[in-house]
Amino acid sequence: MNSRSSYSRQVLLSILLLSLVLLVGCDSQGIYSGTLITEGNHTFQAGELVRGDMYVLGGQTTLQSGARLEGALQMLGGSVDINGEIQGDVSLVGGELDLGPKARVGGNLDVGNGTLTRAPGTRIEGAFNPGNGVALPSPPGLFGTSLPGRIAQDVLEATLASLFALLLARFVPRPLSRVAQAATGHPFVSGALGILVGIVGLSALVLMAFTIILIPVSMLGLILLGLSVLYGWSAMGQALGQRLSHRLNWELSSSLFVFLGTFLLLLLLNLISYLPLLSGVLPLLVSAIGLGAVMLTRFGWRTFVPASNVPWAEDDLLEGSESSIT
Amino acid sequence: MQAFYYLKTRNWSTLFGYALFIGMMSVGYFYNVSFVQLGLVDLGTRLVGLSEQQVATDMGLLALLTTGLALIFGFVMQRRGWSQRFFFKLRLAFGVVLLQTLLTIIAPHIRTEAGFLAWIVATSGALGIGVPVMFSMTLDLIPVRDRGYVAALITSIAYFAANVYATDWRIEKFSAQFVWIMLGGTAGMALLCFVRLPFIDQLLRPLAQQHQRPAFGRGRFVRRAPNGNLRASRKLYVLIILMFGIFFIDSLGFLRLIATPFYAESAWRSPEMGVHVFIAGTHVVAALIAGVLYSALNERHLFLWIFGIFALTHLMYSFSTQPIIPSDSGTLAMPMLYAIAVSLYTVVNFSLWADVSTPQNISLHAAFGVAVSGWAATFISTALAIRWQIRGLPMEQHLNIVGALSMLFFLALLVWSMFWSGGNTVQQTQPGERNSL
Repeated sequence: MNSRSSYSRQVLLSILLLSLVLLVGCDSQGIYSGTLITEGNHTFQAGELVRGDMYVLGGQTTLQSGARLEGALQMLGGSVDINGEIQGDVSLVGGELDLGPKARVGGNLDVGNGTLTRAPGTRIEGAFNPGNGVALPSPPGLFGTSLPGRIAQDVLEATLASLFALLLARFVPRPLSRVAQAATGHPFVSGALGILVGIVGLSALVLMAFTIILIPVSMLGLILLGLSVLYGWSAMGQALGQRLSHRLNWELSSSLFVFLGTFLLLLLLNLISYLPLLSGVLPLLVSAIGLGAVMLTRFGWRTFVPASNVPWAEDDLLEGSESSIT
Repeated sequence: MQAFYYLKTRNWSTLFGYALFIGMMSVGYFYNVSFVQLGLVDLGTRLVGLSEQQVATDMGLLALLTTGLALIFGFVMQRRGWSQRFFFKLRLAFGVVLLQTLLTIIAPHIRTEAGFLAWIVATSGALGIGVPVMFSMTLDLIPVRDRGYVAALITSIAYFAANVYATDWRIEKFSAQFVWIMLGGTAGMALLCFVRLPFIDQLLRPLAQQHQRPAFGRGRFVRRAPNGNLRASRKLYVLIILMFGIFFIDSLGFLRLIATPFYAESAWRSPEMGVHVFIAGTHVVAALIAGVLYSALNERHLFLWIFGIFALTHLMYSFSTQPIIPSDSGTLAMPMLYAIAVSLYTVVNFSLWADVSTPQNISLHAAFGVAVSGWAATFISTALAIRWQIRGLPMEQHLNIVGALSMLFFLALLVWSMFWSGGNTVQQTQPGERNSL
């Protein structure tokens, strides 16, 4: 009875922790909000305010004089006529963008592809970057963009991911260990598969999103991919925590060293992202290794053994082995 | 990698074997994907004055002749025991390189259709002999554990050079670029084959015996029969069909894409060097990934990945012909995925045939594998593509068919994996337990 009630308490605690994670997105305006336009005619009239970023994949959108977009405009297709104000950046990847004489862009105008028409009176407050590719949109943090704000954001993210790892360690400890074994025992294989899954998976999800009808499937896939990455980080956090507790001779419960390991790993990755050259590469590689290990072990339900482990392949390395194949 | 062990134990002879094999195969493949496949079209259309369809028909003839010759020569090699005679194969390889060097020098001077056809027949001869000879050297030079990594290096070098170095597809340019490489290769091979120097002898003599060691001579998919003999897995026939499917899908799709200026000029024929470097870099990264995965995953998973990526790529191309995806100009996402799929299967192709073979049957298996799946698939897909173009099949439908074929193979493999799960690399329990063939 005691163990059952203890288990129920743990389940309730887990739900509470997960709810806390979800509640982060539920302040008055949410962490992030945006508008997705895929087809049809949309006109935003004078005095109208559009909150968040706007993504245009198709259709005809008009932002009349006096209308304001409080975010960035990301164009992948369709046609957009602007005579109003856009507070953020405008990124043109595809489609037709017409900036009228009263148009005002508060940020940069980045043109990767597509057709751009600019009237003489257009005001661009930031830089005009033609043909240099387009920066990916990044959701604003809870604590702003200053350095202390970004560090606070990093700590919050590391804490939330560590809580997720804690839940995994509590409820699925063996699968987590199998993923950790694959990630640490076969980092090259895991990394290779992780990169492949990342590239191909993202391409497939983007392609699905373009069909419009498959957008929900695409979103689900994206969430699954994100959770897989998180699972991979947790497994690597477990490996790190285990090594640390062994090295420092700490007597910790297994769940606690998973929490600490994941927290330290993510904090370290976030710190590395401030360094110039390593910022993108190392966190991506670590994520790829984790993701690949998750896939190799089929979410931790199987132990990974490389296929080329045939006994005779190692004959050159063993003494007294079979010396001839005849 | 086992190569590190040889480096640690200073086994220079085996390491030289690695270098020799990587050098021969990467230059050979670079020559094949650029000079033969692209230079031939330019030679036939611009210098000889044939129509594109006539050149495509002649390329089909090249593929058919190569298939026949490779099969005959592979069979002869097996019957006469040549596939186990390393020095004999080395001399044959020298002959092939010499013939290809002469063909490289001659090619830009051909102006008649008869000359063009004679050049094709001679090239078929070089390829038909070259395939069983070169591929059978895998068992002499590369141990089982390193085949994926070595294939990755060969694929990386060949595709990087083809995309960055050989960007001008005129036969004169190809000839000028290749002649020095080929002359150097011929001289090097002549030195190895005919000059008796003690250090060359010390390097080569152990290589001639390596195929007798299980680590080299017994492929990954070779099992020991109850009577004690080594026998290739029955998977060989399935693998030939799968590789045939891959070559067929690749060739059928690529022939149409490369003939469509919109797609060709935004990728493989782009005037911007950055685009070529991007595609070349993708080939290199994908080949390295494939090399690592070849050693780690079982063949079904590898083929699932390849067919899956091909299906996705052709689906993207099909979409781009419709107004679903904005396409003011070609996007690099599609050639990127294409390069990934091509690198994956090229690595598998370079490793697989040796891994289903023993020193006795490698020449015939390689001939079957490379010629029947590779060249025959190219021949049939070329003929089909020409027929479709003559009949005016729209681009969209052409790509839809290719995408559907990829999806069909993908699903068939998926069903196969689900119902015949023997030989999975991923096991339920007992960490460290070895995979059985």
